[in-house]
Amino acid sequence: MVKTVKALGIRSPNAGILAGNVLRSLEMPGEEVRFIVSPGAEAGMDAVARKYGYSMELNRLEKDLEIRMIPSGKTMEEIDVTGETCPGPVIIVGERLSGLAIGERLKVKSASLDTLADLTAAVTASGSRIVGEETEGDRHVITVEKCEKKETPVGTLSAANRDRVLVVQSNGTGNAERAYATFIFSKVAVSMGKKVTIFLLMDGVSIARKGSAAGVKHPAFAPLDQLMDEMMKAGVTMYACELSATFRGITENDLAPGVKLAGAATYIQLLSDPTYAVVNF
Amino acid sequence: MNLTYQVIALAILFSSTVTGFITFRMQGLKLAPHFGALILALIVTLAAVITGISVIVVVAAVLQVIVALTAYTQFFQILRDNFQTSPGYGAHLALVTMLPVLAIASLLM
Repeated sequence: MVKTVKALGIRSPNAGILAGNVLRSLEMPGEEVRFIVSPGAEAGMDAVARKYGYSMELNRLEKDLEIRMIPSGKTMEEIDVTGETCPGPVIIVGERLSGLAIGERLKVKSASLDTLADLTAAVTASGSRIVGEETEGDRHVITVEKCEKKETPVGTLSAANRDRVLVVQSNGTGNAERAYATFIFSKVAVSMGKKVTIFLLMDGVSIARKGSAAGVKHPAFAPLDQLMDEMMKAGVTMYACELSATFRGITENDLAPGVKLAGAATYIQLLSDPTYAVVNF
Repeated sequence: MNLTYQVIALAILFSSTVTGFITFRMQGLKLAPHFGALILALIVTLAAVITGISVIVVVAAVLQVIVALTAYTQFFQILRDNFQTSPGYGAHLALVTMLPVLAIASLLM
């Protein structure tokens, strides 16, 4: 656990005195503490850290400073994703990060720089940040710090903070690769903290027919129906286009559990919402 | 028995391995039983054309019918709901649908 103390506006030496009092009276002795302070408060903090058996790390935030007091000898959790192929590393790191508290860090190793570049994109998109990059032998290493995700108000035009993904699937069970991609990309988006909606239209509604996803198989992946169930349990919303379903004689009773029929208006509304990034399969 | 029909069936089976492979890549393991039957029919038909032995011709004709049947059993769900992707599998279905007619003709004519 990492304790966060915001002490904005307090200057040195008062900030140092405050930090000393916090470190002395911790409920869990030896706990890592991060202070968010204003510039000018950092002077003398290193001496405070040494006095209480901590090492100090100074990071510059947008306006403020982050001073981390790390207990001497404390080791960071590490994972090595070498050998994992996409989307494995993103899912593994996403799951591990979800179990960490804000401010806690995770060291991720991989022999592939490309894998770490993909992970960096996923981690920053989920609101966390990369605080270190290094090389250890044949492994490239990034240090990820879990940060609080900034919420984007519904309907805002900010393209930088689109935190929802609309996956549009129009090929159905007749194209196994695209059918798998629909759910694997959704799984990655969920692990990145995105809210995912899947819209099945045209041939895509064939996936929504009860039992039909079970017939789509590939030796490298779990059967499609299992991935579909997993996504439903993860809170993914799945719509089947009413028009396409009618064309194929699919009624509400024929739909797999959790899939809802939706009209063109729902689809247009989802496409028009700027908080959604749209992926087509 | 007329071996000419088996020669035509052999040509169709050869072509079907190409269209079948493309369809197999697109639709995944679901088509494995059909693809297996197709390869087996190709081998036996080749043997029938080379040897001309009646028993082998009969076995080849039966396998050709099985190829067409397995195509429809494995494609049923896709045929029912997937219209837009039909160019991907249409050629293969059209080819293997010729096989039962040729198989029966080779036995009766």
